[in-house]
This record gives sequence, C-alpha cells and structure tokens, in this order.
Amino acid sequence: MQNNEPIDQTPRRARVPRILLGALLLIVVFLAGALLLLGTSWKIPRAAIASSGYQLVGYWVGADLPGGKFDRPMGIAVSPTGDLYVSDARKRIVSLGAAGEFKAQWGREGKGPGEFSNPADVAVAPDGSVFVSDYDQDRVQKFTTEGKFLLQFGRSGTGAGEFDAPAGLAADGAGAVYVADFYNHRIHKFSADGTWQKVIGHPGRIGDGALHYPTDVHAAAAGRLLVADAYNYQLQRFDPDGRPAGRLGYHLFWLWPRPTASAAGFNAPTGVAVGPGGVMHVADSGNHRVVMLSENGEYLAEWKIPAADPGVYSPEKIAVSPDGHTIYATDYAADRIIVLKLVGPTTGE
Amino acid sequence: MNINILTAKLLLTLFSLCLATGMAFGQSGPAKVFIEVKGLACPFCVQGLEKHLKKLDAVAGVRTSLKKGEAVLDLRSGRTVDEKELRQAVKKAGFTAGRIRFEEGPATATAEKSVKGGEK
Repeated sequence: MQNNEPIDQTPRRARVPRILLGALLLIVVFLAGALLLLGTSWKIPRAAIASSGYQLVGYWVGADLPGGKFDRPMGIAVSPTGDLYVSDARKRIVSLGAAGEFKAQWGREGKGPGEFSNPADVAVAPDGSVFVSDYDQDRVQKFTTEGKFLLQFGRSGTGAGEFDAPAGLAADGAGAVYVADFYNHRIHKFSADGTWQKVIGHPGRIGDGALHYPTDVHAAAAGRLLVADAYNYQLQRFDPDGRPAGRLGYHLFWLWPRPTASAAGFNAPTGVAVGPGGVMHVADSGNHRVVMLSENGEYLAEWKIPAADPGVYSPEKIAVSPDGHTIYATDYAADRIIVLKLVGPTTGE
Repeated sequence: MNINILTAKLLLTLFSLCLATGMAFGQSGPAKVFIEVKGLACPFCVQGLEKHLKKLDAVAGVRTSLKKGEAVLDLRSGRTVDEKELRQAVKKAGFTAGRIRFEEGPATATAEKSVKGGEK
C-alpha cells in the first residue's frame, strides 16, 4: 500500500514558533472580541457634578440601648417617618429616632414568632410594618411598627418562595416585599401578606440578569429594583416586571484584578439604597467605603472608613433618610452605625 | 441485715453512676475540628459557612476566625464527623476546605458564640 500524503518538510524548530504565533493571534482576537461585546461598560463614568460628597456626622454605637451596645449590626432600614431599624447579632431589632435616640427593641434567640437566629436585614413598608429576614432560619417575619408579630413566610429550599440565606430585603411603594436569596442567586417577590409572586434574576456570572450571591435589594421609584449583585462585583437594575434593565460597575475581568480605584468599580457591593432624585448610595464593603452614584450611574463621591480592618468587609448595608440628606450604614466590623450627611448639589440645597 | 442490703444497694448505685459518668466524660474521640478556609473576609460568607457546618448532625457549635482563616467546630458528645462531609459543607458554602485537623479529647456539647472577623 502506497502512501500519497505530502510530507511536511518544514524543520520542527520552525514549526514551533509558528504554532505559538497562531495561538497568540487567537488569544488577541478572542480578547478583542470579548472587550467589544462585553467590556464597553466596565468602568463607572464620572459625573459632571464633582462637588457632591459625604460628611461624617458620627458613629452610633448604641451605648444607651437596654440590651447592650450594637454587636455586629447587619441590617438597616429607614421608615417613611424617618425612624431607623437595625438588626444585630444580639438577635434583635432596634428602633431609633432620626437623632439616634432609642425608641424600641424586640427579638430574642429562638425559632418561634418574634425570635431570631440571625436577623440579616430589615425593610419597612409604606404602612410602617417591619419585615425581618433570618439568614439561618430561611424565613421572613412581619411585625407592626412597635414589634408585634403579624405573620411569616419562606422556608429552606430551592423552590418557589424558598430560601437559602435571605440576605437582603426591600419593600416597595405598593407593599410588595423583595428578598435577596444569597445561596440561590436570585430575588423573590412576595405580596404584603407573604404570598409568593415571582423570581427575578437567575444564577450566573455573565450577562444581564445573572446574579452571583446577591446580598441586597432596593425598591426604587416606579417599581424599579436595584440589586447588590455582590460577587459579580456590580449593581443590577430590573424593571417593574422583573426584566434586567442594566448593570452598574460591571467589569469584564471579574476574576482578576478586582476593581479598587475610586471610579473603577466595586469590590463586593453588599448594600444599596436610593434617595430622592435617584441618587444611589452603595456599601462597597470590599473597598471599605460608601459610594455615591448619580441616577444615571455616574460616580459622584465616596467616603472611606478611616483605618478600616482590612480583614473584614464593611460597611454591609445602607439606608437613606426620607429627605435624602442623611445616610446610615452598618459597620459590622466596628459594631456601629456610620452616619453621613450629604453635601453639595445632590442635596438639592 | 436490712442496713447491709441498703448499703450494698447504695454502693452499687454509686458505682453504676461513676461508671456512667466515666463513660460520658472519659470517652475520647475527636472533640474539635479545625478547618482551614481561605478567602474569608465577607460577613455574609462567614455566616453562610457557619450555617452550612451547623447543619451537620455531629456539630454542636461553630466559630470562625477571619484572621486565621479557620473554622473551629465543637462536636456533640460521642459523635464524629467524616472529613468528606466537612469538605462538602464548606463547598456548599462557596469555599474550598484546606487542611482539616481533628483534635482528640473529651467530648463536649458546648456551643460557643462565633467570633467576629479580626478577633478584636
């Protein structure tokens, strides 16, 4: 049998560089294509308003609280009347006035009504009712403004209305409740009576609507949602029907290097809140800072925790006063609430 | 005679109690487990790790040190846990377990409060 195949007479030494060159060319073409398709919005643009900023008002440690000072505070929410609700590791919810004065507290360790294992977040509905998510018990409890138990919903699992670590909560103007389901990588929508309605987003690393360990959700004006998609290192917007409506701070190279520069993106943004006029405030915990973005997602300002412990991501969650002038953030690592004031054009003054 | 029988019964009861107590407290086996976990910095992740480890039947309590990058498990009296189970629980929490070390000693059922990151 005769072999008619041409014999490659190129010396082996010459073939190796050619293969390497081809591989290099392929990589370059792939990267260029990926940048063209996905990488166009990986930086947060800077806004024209440069004089906006944060000013530290103070730190609230809860020295006068009946059950002891704040211990690893995590969840935070502001009611329509301006009262503040905070959850902490003492398995309780603390209510404070706008000046930080103690108003009420409730909760203790346990699995019954009004009891908690790990109250991760708080949300206040327009009627003043308070929702609390329990990270360990996979349930949400609803209380009156004063802390009287009303109802509960959710259980452990991956099905409809089931959670694995409900990390974040929000209530919209119509009373619907949204839950950031950390280990199931999705957002749930419930009615005010705890009836499950739908799932928003899906597990994933790339693309609109793909969520990776979401830690917080905020119900913005006109039924729009803003999600702290913490481990995709970005924020995601959803329209009132739950359809993806854009990403903020997204960067192609989410694997490495992680963004750390003030205007280049987030490192585990775990909390988000929107003030009047659409100004966004982000608890960029991996960068130990609070970031202010315009309604269009442009970078406005930041405030960094002085001498922050580099080994613990903080601040975790964030809330805005009804007038939009005061920002509260839970500093888990330092057992306190950070109180900031807005200065500059974004205050509207 | 009655007194002698009563004394004997009392001694027997005491002996049984001592034996039972000795069995409970003197039993040795892995009482603590140390799991090396890298990349612990985020409180949500740490709490998730503790949540998944606490789900194991043999685990009475978990505390995590962000500084050391380590989870320390207290096991229930007389219970043991499989290394494979531990690695799976850590994986479910989104991490990869490094070195796992079992510490022999009298079993305990004390659940200790988890410490915050940085061990301030």
